[in-house]
Amino acid sequence: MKINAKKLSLTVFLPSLVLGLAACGGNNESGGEAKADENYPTKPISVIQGFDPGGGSDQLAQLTQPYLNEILDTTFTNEYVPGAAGAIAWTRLAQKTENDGYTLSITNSPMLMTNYIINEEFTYNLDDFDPIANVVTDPGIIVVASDSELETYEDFVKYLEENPGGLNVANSGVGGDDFFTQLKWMRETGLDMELIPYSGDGPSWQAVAGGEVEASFNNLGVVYSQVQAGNLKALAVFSEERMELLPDVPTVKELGHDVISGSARGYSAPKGLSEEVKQKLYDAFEQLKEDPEFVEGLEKVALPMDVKIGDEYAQFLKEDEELSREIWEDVKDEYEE
Amino acid sequence: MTVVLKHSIASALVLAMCGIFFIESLSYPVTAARLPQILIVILALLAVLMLVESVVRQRKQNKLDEKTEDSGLVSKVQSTKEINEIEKKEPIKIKRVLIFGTMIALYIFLLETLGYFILTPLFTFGALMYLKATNIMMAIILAVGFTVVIYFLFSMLLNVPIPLGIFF
Amino acid sequence: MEDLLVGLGNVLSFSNLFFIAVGMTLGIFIGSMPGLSATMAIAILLPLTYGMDPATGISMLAALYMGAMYGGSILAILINTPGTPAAAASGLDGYKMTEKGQAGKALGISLVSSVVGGLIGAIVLLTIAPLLGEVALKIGAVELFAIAVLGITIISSLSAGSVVKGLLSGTLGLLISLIGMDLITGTPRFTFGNIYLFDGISFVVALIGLFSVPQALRLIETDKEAVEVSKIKDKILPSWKEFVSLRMTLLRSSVIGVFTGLIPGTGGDTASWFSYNEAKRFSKEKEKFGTGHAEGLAAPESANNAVVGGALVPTITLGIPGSSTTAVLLGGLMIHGIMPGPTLMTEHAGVAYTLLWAVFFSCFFLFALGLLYTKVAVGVTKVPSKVLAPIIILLCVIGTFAVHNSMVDVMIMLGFGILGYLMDKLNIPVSPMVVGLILGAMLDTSLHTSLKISGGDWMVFLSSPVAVILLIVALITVLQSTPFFGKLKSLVAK
Repeated sequence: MKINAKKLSLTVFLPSLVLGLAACGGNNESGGEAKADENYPTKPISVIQGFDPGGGSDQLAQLTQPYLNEILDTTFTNEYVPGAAGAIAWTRLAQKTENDGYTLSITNSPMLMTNYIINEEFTYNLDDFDPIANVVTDPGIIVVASDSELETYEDFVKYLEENPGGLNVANSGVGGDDFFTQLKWMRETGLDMELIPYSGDGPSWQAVAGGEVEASFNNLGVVYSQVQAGNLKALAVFSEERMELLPDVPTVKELGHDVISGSARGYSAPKGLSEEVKQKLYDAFEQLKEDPEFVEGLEKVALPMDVKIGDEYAQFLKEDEELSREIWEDVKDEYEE
Repeated sequence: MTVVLKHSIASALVLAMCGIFFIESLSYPVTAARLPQILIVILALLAVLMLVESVVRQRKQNKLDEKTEDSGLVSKVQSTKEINEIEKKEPIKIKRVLIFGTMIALYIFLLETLGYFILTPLFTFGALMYLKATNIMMAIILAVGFTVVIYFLFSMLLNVPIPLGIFF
Repeated sequence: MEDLLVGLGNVLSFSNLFFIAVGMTLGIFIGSMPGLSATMAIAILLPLTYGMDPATGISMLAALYMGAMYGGSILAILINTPGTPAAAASGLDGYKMTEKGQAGKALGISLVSSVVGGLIGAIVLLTIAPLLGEVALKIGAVELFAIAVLGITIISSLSAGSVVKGLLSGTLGLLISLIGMDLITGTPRFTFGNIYLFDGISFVVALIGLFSVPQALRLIETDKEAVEVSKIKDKILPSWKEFVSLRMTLLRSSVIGVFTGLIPGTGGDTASWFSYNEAKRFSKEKEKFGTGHAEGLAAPESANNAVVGGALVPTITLGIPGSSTTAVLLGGLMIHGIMPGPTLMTEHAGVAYTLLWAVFFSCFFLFALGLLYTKVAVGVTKVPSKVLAPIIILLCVIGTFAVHNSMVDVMIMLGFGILGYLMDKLNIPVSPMVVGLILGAMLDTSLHTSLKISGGDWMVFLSSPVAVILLIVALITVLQSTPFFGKLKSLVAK
């Protein structure tokens, strides 16, 4: 009977507890925290990551945060909340965390936006965030097998002109950055090809190397070492200018098709940070960008630095969102049927 | 509960699941729906077969029982295997399983709010006492001990997240 | 060759050996906790290595991988609560041995098998890694589909008692594994609008529920102790004679382990079930499987440790992770500023070869430390059932939460716990469901990718010799389980 008594007390206790807490939560929104913001940060900053430890987001965190710790004189701690291509973490950031600057998240674009563009189940959107800074952008790249008959980007285009839809081209999954790069490219060039989704960048290039498909739209940082070793051939890259890592590979833009695309990673906070906190974070990334050791660290693992701070980052995300939405509206019937 | 009744309920549940999943799958694109639909159909067939099988077994069992009664022989050896398959040797203490199960469910559903430090010793102590596993002193020691040891191993040593709840 | 010797020199330094020992100790421990898998073990300890020399750090992680693959089966054997998907197969015969009072012996066989598997994997890695690396590239969607089909036939051999119930359990597993976002079309399937289901149901979570919760309930539902206390004097290591009698099983399973490891996307979980099935296929005492048979324990144990060496082959030679665990290891290399890929063996030869040797030497640490841990762990059989039950539940809840830092997972775990308990009461075997859960997604995606590439032509599956062979083996397996095959065999015998 002991049990029953316990259960009873719990049923009484719990609702009152929840109510009490809800009240507390409501009060925290506003209030004289201006002073606290001047001294920001006074406690560790938690970074919610939407992917597993050891993945791309974590990589960025491990490369970046030791420097940020020093610059801001605090500790960045990581919390991994993987699931639904990052959406579980970003939903939490948007809806459940305080906008006091002590909780940030690593935001991947275009994933951040394409998640909710494609699935209406996701309830967050770009307006829920204060983008702080983008750190790296891994540009898209077209690769083929080393023994492929397609020697250049022109060959690739010509083949598709003569055989519409005649090439199987891999991407890292429906809704991923490479998938959208393909859609953008197809729209720009008016060419058609067969899109073959794989579960990630790795399987996508491996399918090319193993001869299962003819080409892959991938990311430079991912395939760089394979291109260096001669396992893959790079045809063109989707960056604004040629990349230092592969200076001989032309950009798609210089070859006459205006498509810039890639996978970018940076930091964002929930909407409504105070100006002081925002500025402190902006300054930190400004300083980070100039640190030669940090720059070298990124180069070592073939991650192209692309620091965009504050409004510039926000603008970049907004534009990418609009373009992605437009493209998805065009093709969604094929996928939702 | 008879064997046939048990299996009828199970089959009905599986069939219900098949129904819900099949209706759900109708809205998917053809390629996405293909494999699930094949599996759903197979599953539904198997559920029906399972029910039929249990009926057949029950009949066999009944016949066997009749035979034993008629001949008055204690030919248990033959039927032991079948009986074993249907009934467990020791009687199940249903009430105990249900209460322990409820404790587990409560532990899980309250953990996120009340948190690890309050609920874990409470659950361990309650369970040990209810099951009459140890005396009261030992139960307290185990309850507190495990809470602390697991916390140290998981959170301090391995840095693995633990549901600490809202108070911590 | 020179690099090989440099690596050997590196690994034999005091600090490297020390950290290999540390990694091994932690690995065995983490692996034995429900929910904490080898993949997680590496992810957890990765940050610890940031301050270390890369070679030392990576060596420690390799030892950790090896240890965790072994550790997973300890609790599977002792209390039927597998800590990892790979260990679920070990529990089939392992726990039966414990019930018979042979816990010590079971742990001994498991340890020796793991060491043998680990060593064979390590030797392959040290000698012919560059030759085998290419295999990883040759396995495409078509071959993966054939592997998945072959895997699914395992279900039939796990369906002792009632074939209908075994198939029901397996089909249910396959269907459940399809929950989540479909890779090809991006459609969320059977998620009912819940974003926590978008990635599907993690099979670690399902597995903990299916095995551990019913086990805890079984422990309390009678007043009888479930397990005979293993005598302290119970000899742990198998005798030479026993070891020799297992040699073919060990060798075959290790080879299966190495190859399963090589294939990207398959790891210890698949390897252990495959090798269990093959051990049974080639055994003279098929009927003893599932009743506490040494072969049935040795097979999955050696296979899942051989996976370590196998999975590292494409990881090191090409930068393609051979399993989810090595994927995290690759991430670790990147964070250490080392670019994984085909250039690893040349540009970072020191690190690469130290890692290879570390895998080899970690097997010896596995033996020594495993023996020590085993001697302590046998004590678990002395804990009364009713004390054990709440503790199992605690470990499951905390362990499941840790997997994705998610309370939703814990609730899913409980759901599977109830399902597992009810299945047990209806005598529906759980193992086929585990196989279904492991292989379902692989079957689905490889089928779709293959058909997408071929433009819908099913003949694509006959275009690859490897796939054809695997599909024929699958066909034979299915025929073997039908009465028709028995008749044919007796005809031939006459």
